[in-house]
Amino acid sequence: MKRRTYYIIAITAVFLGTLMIIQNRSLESVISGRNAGSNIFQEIQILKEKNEDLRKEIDNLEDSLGKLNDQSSVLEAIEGEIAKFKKLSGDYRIYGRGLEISVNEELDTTAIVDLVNEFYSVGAEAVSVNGYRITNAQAGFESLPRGEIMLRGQILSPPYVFAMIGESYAMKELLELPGGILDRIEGVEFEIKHKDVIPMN
Amino acid sequence: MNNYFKPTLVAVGTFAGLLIALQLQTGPPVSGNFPVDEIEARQELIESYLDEQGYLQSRIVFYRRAIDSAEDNIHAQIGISDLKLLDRLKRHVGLSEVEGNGVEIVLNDSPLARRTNSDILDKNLVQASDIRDVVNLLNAASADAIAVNNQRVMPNSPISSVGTSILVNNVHIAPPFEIQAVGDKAIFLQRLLNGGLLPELFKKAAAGNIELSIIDKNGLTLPIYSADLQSEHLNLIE
Repeated sequence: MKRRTYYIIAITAVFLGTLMIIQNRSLESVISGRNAGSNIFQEIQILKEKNEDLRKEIDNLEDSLGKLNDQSSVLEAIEGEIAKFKKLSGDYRIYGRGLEISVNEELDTTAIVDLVNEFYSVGAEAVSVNGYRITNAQAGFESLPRGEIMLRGQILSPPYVFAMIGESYAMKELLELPGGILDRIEGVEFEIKHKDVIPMN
Repeated sequence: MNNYFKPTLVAVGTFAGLLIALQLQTGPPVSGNFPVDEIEARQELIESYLDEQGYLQSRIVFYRRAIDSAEDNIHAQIGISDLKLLDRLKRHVGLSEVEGNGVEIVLNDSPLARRTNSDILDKNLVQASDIRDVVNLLNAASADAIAVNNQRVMPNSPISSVGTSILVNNVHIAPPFEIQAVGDKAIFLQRLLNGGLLPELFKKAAAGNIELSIIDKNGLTLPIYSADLQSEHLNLIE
């Protein structure tokens, strides 16, 4: 009886120890999820699409350079550059189709930074948070003592509404891939809507 | 012995049951157990994309410089106001070099870490999120311009990771990661030295997991933005 008891206790202890190690490793993976969860297939797809975008940019630049070297189309090239940079600079009001993602829960600064980073990564051409467009003059999120977030002097609080202009179906597909950012921010529900017109100031 | 055996077994069984329940509720780690050849193929694919990106970016820089010099040569044909507007807009989208005083933050992996063979979870590696947090803090401190390892970082620049590689503007960068910012040095230093604003980073540095240094720098020159500027879906409200 005594020997049998020892065997049972030994087997149970080994079983318990194994479980504790497995559980600890699982928790480590989940806790360090800001980087760990990124989906390699999503990243490869993003790299592939980004190279396509770079090729398109080279085509556009070749076209602009050609026009600048041709006396008859100089003005057209300059006007084209000005129009493009006006849209990107953040100094002018713009609109376009894209996605709107709403979150009713509290988010911390790192989650917002990670979300905005991911939106640009999947192809957003312009992003706003609660109506404030992120531009060179308006970037950088800070935490306030009461848990609100500040974006260059503007206080943001829930519900957070992220709007992004770009190819909405492609962006949504990439964002919703398993292991993507929406999966990695745990305990938060995201409501995603396609929008035909998103205005940004 | 028998008096203690049953309650002990019940307690151990309950604890084991709790652990099993917790284990079942824990989400599975996203990284999979792929065969080695599949991992190598994936790595080669990523490297080929990154090599191509380096080449494409260098062509973009070449064309932007050629366009700048072509524009300088056609002053007579376009109005001064248009040229001034073009210059101002180029500054705002990062197509002008920025010179000035500022700071340099250097983040490096622990000497014990080997990035090529490591797991992304290796606590001795600098993570993309560490760089993002520093860049976010500098942006919030009204930086005029920021660059990471000579890649100009704009608000729309993604800073992400593919495996253990870190990408800025989707271009691969290697440690040490030098983050340079031009702007008000006093504000930068006041925020950077406040450990409460970058708690994770300071914790990792204090534990010796990564190396962190903050350097006051004069005469910095930050390069132009060399990635693509997509505006296909953007329309101006006239």
